Amino acid sequence: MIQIKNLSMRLGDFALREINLEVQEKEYFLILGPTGSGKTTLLKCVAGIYYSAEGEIRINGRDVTRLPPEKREIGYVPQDYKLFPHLTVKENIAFGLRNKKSLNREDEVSRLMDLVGLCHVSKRCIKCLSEGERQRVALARALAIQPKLLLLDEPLGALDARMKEKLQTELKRIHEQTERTTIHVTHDFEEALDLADRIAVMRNGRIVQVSEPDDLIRRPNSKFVAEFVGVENILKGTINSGENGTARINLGAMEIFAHTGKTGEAYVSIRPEDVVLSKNSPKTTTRNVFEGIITEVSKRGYLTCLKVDIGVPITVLTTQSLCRDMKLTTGSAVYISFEEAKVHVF
Amino acid sequence: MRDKDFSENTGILQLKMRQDNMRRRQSFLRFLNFQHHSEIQRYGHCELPLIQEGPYITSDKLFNILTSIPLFFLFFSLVGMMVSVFLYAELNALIMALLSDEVLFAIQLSVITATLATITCLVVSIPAAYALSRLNFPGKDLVDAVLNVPIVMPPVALGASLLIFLSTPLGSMIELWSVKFIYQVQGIVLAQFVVVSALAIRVLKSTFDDIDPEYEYVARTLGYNKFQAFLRVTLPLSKSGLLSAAIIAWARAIGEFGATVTLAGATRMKTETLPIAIYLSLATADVTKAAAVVVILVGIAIAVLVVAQKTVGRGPVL
Repeated sequence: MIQIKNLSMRLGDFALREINLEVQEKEYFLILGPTGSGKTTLLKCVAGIYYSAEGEIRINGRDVTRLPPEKREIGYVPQDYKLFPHLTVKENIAFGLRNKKSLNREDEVSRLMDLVGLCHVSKRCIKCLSEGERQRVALARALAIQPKLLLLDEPLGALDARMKEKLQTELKRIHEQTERTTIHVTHDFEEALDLADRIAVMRNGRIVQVSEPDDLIRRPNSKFVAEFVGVENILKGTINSGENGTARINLGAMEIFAHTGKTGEAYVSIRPEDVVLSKNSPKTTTRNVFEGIITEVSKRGYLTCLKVDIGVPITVLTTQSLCRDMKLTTGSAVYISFEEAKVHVF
Repeated sequence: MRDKDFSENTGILQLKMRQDNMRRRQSFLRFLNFQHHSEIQRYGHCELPLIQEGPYITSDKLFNILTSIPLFFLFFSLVGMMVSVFLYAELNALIMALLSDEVLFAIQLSVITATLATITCLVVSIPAAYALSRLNFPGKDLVDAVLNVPIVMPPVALGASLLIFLSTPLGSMIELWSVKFIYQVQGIVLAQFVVVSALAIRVLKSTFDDIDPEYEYVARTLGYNKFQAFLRVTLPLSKSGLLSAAIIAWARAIGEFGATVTLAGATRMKTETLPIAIYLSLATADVTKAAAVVVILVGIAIAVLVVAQKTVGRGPVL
């Protein structure tokens, strides 16, 4: 288990502030944030490359705050991998195994190469590897020392979309096989969603939210997180008193109903796939029913994205077949509805 | 219509002429061995003209010719100078001078002192350049600037300041209690070392600057301490920089005259390095001997260039 307590440090103009994190044993933990949010700095603090003046880092109960990197038993895969160009693939992987006997070392290297799927390139030089192969070598090199914790800094950042998808699956497989606690840093939300057991979102050197991927989408705790994870339909309003845990929220042009205990000013978000479309007034128990006009129709992958003006613009995701069947085009009048429980207030 | 036909025809004509030119050029290049053979085989059958390098606009050509004049002027003056040295004395006299005790002594002394100076220089410069590249400390800019001084300062002045320093009370203590430098062979090594280490530090600093410290960090997470990471990662990665620093230092040390003559003097058969041998021979109007030493120095220079090309892949350029 990795515990980070009150970690603060300054690096030039940039600062990490009061980082508190707990990563469970065998967990795949994602740190998500835009460029310059301090995620790499935090990773380097954990690796021991930067020393923090304040705070404490514990790995499996051992205080490593003042330990140099070589004593921390951490596997580190830096951005663009930094494979040693003066060594071959095998020598790179064996770099951390110098204390082993040469026979054991050979075995260990071939085991690692099997693990990451790299049997065919053992004697090649680093410069002739593809980007995907480099990533695998870097991973094998880091895993060689049997680390207590694996740190990955944007490991999929330099890959093209197809390769990325493939290696993402590989990362998952390797994690399942080795059961190593992993901290993975990225700016790509979809990558995070796919891989993570839990996600921490960082902004300006602070951690703003830690939760499971589903929770992060359903219940972002700030406008920043909501926007960063791609939540649409973020509206600002005032909560009026409600009854039975259901509040009336005044959005200026209209009122919607939601389950919340909050009062005063708040943001509201409704996920576009939670909005139900209908041609006629729908028969439903929810009070959130509005009439509007479609202002924009666009494709988004296999789905269709509609912008419906109900006084405020609402984005709705629906299937293409539904759009065809209902003959929805720009200018069509539609009803939209969403359940109170699907309205997230933060 | 007719105009179009015409222009098409001339177009084809031009294309054919270019193809012919290209073939001629290719065979010429093959003759000069400039172009890789397989490349010609691979593209040789090609019907369309290859991309032609070089200018075809008259003003471009003119500009190229104008810039080439000084280039070839310099080239031929250098070749002329060297040839004149060879032709100055008769071959027999030249060989006699080459094999004279004095010249053999000078060769030996130069090679030994330059090698010693290079080794000492590397031992000091590698850590110094690493510190200058990686550490941040107050006054770093000042240290950096002062280390550059020997590069721009005349070597004679450098030798003179060494001489003056060694005559101060502190300097005399060093002379008395440890190694004697003034008018000694050790003085040659010291003079060469001072001149050469500034150059080596420059080369090594830029080498270390180019190596991402992240490599060392990775090595450290793999269980190596700072010193081991330096030895196993940074040093091998800076191999070509190290070689080029060593080559520059050695070549510069062989040719060192100003600081050496001031500090170690020009004593025949004692502190007589190759450049000093030239100076002494000319002072006694023995031009043949001077020519012989020049021939040796030219030979050394060519050898250094060849070694640099083979090991580092480029000339020892700062």
